[in-house]
Amino acid sequence: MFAVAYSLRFIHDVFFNGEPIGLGKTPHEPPRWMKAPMEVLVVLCLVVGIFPALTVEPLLNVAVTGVLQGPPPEYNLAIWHGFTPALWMSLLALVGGGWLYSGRRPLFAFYERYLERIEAKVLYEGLLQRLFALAGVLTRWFDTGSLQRLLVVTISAFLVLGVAGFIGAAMPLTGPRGLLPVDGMSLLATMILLATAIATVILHRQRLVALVLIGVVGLVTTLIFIKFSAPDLALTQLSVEVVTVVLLLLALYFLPQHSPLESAPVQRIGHGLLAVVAGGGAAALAWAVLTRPYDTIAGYFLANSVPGGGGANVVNVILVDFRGYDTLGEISVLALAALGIYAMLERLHLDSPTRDADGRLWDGELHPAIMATLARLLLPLALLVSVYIFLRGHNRPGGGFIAGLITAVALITQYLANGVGWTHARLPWNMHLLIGLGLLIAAFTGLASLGLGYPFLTSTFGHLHWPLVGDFELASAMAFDLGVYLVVVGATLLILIHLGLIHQNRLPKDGGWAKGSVQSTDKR
Amino acid sequence: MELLIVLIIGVLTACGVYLTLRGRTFPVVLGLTFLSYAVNLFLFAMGRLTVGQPAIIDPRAAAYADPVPQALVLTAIVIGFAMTAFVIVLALKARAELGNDHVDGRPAP
Repeated sequence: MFAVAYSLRFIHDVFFNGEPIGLGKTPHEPPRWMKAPMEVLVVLCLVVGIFPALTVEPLLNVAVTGVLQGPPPEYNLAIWHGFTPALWMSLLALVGGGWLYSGRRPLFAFYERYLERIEAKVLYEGLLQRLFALAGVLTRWFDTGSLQRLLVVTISAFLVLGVAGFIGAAMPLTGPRGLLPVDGMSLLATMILLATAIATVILHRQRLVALVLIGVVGLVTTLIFIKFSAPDLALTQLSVEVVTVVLLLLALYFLPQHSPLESAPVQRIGHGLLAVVAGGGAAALAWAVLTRPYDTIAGYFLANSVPGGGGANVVNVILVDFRGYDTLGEISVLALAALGIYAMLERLHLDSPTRDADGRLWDGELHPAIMATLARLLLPLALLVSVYIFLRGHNRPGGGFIAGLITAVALITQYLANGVGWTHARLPWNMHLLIGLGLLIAAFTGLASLGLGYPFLTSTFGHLHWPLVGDFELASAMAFDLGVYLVVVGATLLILIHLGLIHQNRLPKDGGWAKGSVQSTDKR
Repeated sequence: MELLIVLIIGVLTACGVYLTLRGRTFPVVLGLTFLSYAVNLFLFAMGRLTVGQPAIIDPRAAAYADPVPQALVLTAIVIGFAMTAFVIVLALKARAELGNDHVDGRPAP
């Protein structure tokens, strides 16, 4: 009714209500093209109104199907449906709108007398200002510029929301699924892991000790993956563990060796309680899931891995074939992280300590001859292993991620044993180029399948019979895996080398000091 | 066996949360490392625990471990490394710019 009333007012006032009044300027006819959009709308209105089935019907059908997630209900577009309730409602709106418009003068008078003092704009702005003020108070209350406080609030909120979801649910924590028997070795490994994890927390202010202990935690995690049938994960975790510990050692060289005892006992107890509750929550959730049976989509992957992807190692086939798009995204993230780190390390000036935590001078002597020589001998062997792991990845545990990490570890060992200067002179690769090349190869295998008329990243495979080697399988997914391999090698080395180079840059090139900081750190 | 894994996930999470709440950057990085162990194990456990049946197609195998969580966790481990590296370098940058290693960048008392 209101729509009809204001439409009537527009039409009546513009065209039929005499000469315009109160205009500052004399209106003139608009240019031709300013009228065109309106004409388009008018034509559309007429066409849609007269031929609905020809114009909007397909669009409407798609929209309704999309919203309902199913077939649209029975409907019929026509101009005349007979005397239906819809028609009566339209008539009512027309009559009511006309009546409203004809009675506008008394209505305006009523508004001016009683309602004009209520200014919606002022109300709205006042409300908005109060809302902003409230948001400001809340933000200042939570965020006092202290990361610790913010984290306490965030973790507490997670816990409260997580627990609130289970209140009133009448489900038992333990499900009906049978449990695996415990063996002595697993019990021992668990005890070691728990002891080292707790020791890390207790001794965390002695940073080097904490780092060694967290390495143990990582290694036992590797054992867990081996125990529960995940050899690929174990290999990945093992090599990532090595790289992470080297990385943290390098970084620790530029950071204080000890954390000061700062927080008050009350605060530490509070944080401890929060941590215990969070751990308990995670454990309860894991227990509830592990004791319940479940439906998995694994059947599809297991059934199609060999016929569809040409590989027996289902985990690798999922990574490079079924879910290749995800992996492409993941190596992009890895490349971005490496470039971000490179950007942060650019022009970074840090004071290298001249003495260690106990006041002894850092050793400036040559690198230990036996370690350096052995590391050089090991390099070709380690590279051979990584090639082997790469090639078998499609059918046996291995693949681009793991092979890349092994290559990176092999090269980092050279930095550790021979120093940054020595290795850098012999390894003049541009890691940026390597990362870019890897991403390009991975993306190109996807585009190639697109070019051949298959969806992006569709893979194919065939068997070759090589003399002496025998039957050898070639899959296009292997090219993709090569891209993964290059990105992993490039990103890992870029990060570690540039971290090592900060140290190198600050020292004279020819002195006994021109070595990796890692070596010095190792000597402690 | 499930109880052991649950215990491990719980303790790793607790250690991670406690260390993340410390006031210096290095323990926070260690805490994040703990949390990524915990999260990776948790995700991995979503495929339930299977002993001695890796997801490698073999006509003699009776059953297989669920390969889907494994594939997800494999990339998560590598991305976790990238994250750790990024955060520790950020910590170095903060120390270089601000002269201390407090998480809020305030000078050491």
